[in-house]
Amino acid sequence: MTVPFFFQTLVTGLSSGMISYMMVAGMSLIISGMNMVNFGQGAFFVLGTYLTYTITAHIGFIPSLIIAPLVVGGLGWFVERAVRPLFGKNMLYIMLLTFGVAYIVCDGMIMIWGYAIRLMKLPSFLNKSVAIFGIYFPTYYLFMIAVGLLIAISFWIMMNKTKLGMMMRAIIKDREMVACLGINVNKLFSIMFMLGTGIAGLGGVLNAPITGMSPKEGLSIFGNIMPILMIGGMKNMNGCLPAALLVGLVNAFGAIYLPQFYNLLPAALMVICMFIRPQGIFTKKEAA
Amino acid sequence: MKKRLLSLLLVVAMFGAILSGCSGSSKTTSDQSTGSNTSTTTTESTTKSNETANTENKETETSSGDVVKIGVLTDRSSAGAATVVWAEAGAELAVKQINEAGGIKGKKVVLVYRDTANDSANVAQKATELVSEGVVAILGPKGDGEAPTGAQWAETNKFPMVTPCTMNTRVTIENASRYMFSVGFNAWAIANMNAIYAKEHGYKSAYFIGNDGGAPGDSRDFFFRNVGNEVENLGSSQVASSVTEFSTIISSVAGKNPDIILGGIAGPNFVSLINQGAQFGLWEKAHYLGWYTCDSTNTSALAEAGNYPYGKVHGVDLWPFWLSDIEGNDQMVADYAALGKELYNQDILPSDMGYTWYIGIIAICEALKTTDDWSPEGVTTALENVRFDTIYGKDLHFRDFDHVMNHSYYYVTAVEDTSGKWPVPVGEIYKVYKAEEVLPTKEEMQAYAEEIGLTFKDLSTLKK
Repeated sequence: MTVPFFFQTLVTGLSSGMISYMMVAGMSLIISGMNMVNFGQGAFFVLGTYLTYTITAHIGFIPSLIIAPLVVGGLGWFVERAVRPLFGKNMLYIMLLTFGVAYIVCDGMIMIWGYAIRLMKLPSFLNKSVAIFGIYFPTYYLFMIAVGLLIAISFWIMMNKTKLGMMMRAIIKDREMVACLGINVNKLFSIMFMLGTGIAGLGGVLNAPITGMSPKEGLSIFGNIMPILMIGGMKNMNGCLPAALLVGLVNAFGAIYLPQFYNLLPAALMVICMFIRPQGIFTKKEAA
Repeated sequence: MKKRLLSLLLVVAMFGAILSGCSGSSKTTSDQSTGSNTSTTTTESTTKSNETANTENKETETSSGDVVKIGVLTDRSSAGAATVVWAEAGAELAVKQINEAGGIKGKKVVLVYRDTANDSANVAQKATELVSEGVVAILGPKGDGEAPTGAQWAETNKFPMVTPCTMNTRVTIENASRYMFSVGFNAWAIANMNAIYAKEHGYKSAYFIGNDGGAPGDSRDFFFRNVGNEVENLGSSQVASSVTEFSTIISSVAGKNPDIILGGIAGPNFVSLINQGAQFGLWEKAHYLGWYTCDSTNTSALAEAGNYPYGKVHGVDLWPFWLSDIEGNDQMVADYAALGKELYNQDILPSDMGYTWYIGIIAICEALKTTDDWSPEGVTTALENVRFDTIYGKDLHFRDFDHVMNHSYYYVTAVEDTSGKWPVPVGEIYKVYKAEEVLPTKEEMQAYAEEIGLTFKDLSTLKK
């Protein structure tokens, strides 16, 4: 393997991991704070992609990076309100409802945009290659890494340096105590869910110019992110980024050295991690 | 209380939307149901597939009244549903043409749909449901991954099934059935045509990227058997049909510098691979060989995004929609598009997938015209013997030893349409192959079956 090839593969793996991180980060926030699995996360990701197709045609790609996630997050508010009566009840009810939401969102996209496979044209300033130390990288993949890092840093700042983040961390630790302190827990749940789905929508925006998408993909994409969640730790938001990048790199180098097992690699990595550290590689073991 | 009521209303509204959403956006009047899209195999499905469909009493139901029902196994639920409108529009076009011409023996043709969600675990159950609806034959299943299960069901239940998917040896050798017929592409033939093109153009190395189905596997294996040492096998990546992120594979492939990418993918996979390949500069060095080459479900999004590598994609097509000099071709294209708009509210351009569904219904209907016996055995015998003409070829029929249709195959290079008529790539014809030039012979299939430790079932010996 030549040095340029190595670095090209590295960049590819990191950018691929960043797209996955967008979906997983939001999912992890929802699981950590609300103790529920949102099976509609993949559908919100695809919705972000489809909104991008329409919004970009009118106002350009960069504004759609802001508007599409806001719209998806707004839709998340309605879903959270529908889920709220089921809090505290059997987890199965919430899983079924969010599964139904996934079908509704996908069929809604079909009604609006039709079945056709869609792809967005890259803006000309991103549709280039850039040479770094003589090695050429597609500009858009570097852009994805940059946006992903920006989101990760922003997320960390929000969770650790703001009052809102402090309250979210408190809810994750002890929901009942937060409620006893007079803080509106339901409002925080809404914000968490909107953030979680909005980040997935942002992932969909970044995905729009690179993959051909159809509405029903929203039902199958969810399965691709479960290994990342398990590797990072389901309730560990800090573990999402390294886990996503790890899976991206394993896919990238695995495609070179183990192409015949490409389909298996993320799941195999998940199984290995579960044997070594069931709580997640990047999660500290809870004290007994 | 107010908040609880509002939340409850939201939940009710959502479930109401689910129920209305399940009926889909199609205006087709036939019955339909959405199958499960889980991939777990259940014993219930296996049990149902072992029950012989009760067809004895159905003869009166199917032939009575003013209609004759044909079942369709479709996919409206999985990621593969991206192409379902194009496929079903082909079937509906055939029905429209036949009904406008007076139907079959005075009876109107009606399609009855069931959704397998591209899951082979659903095939048996949905096919059995169709039989209980009184259909005389089944068009389907849609995907080549489901076809072996379809063949097994057809054999067990002795019920005629005509599949439009790409035929492969998992059916024709491993699960050969007298009751299974193929109107789609043939993976072995595709491999032969790709091999001829590769050898004649002096390509020296190839890397395969395909889905995990029987057809992609055959298209790869028979290609390398055909080219021998003339083309180096640089490796193979098979991906699940839900995968649309190819950048890691493309990055790895680009480093190996292949002359050709041998493709066994379609739909969103194809669009993603070609697009990401363009972004990595893969098509500056390599060519793509595959099939569904000018199928608009594969090409429209890429052409619209300005990322189609014209002149670099080569392969097989069945429907030469761009050839206006074929009498009736333009009208067929127009009728196809009109139906897509009328029934599905979707703008559609020609698709090989739509063509195979069209030919499948035509074949069934032409068979029904030749016999008064519409029992499963009667229809099967009629399909074995049917011969018909279309505007694209004469004497279309199923080969007697493997029930594969003798299409003519167009090997093309996808190029930009200079006339301005087509917003999608059209085919620059390299060669038009007759079926007997590229389909495997009986002897070749027998030899291959022996090689893999199986017995080749010559279906001509089972003719009644």
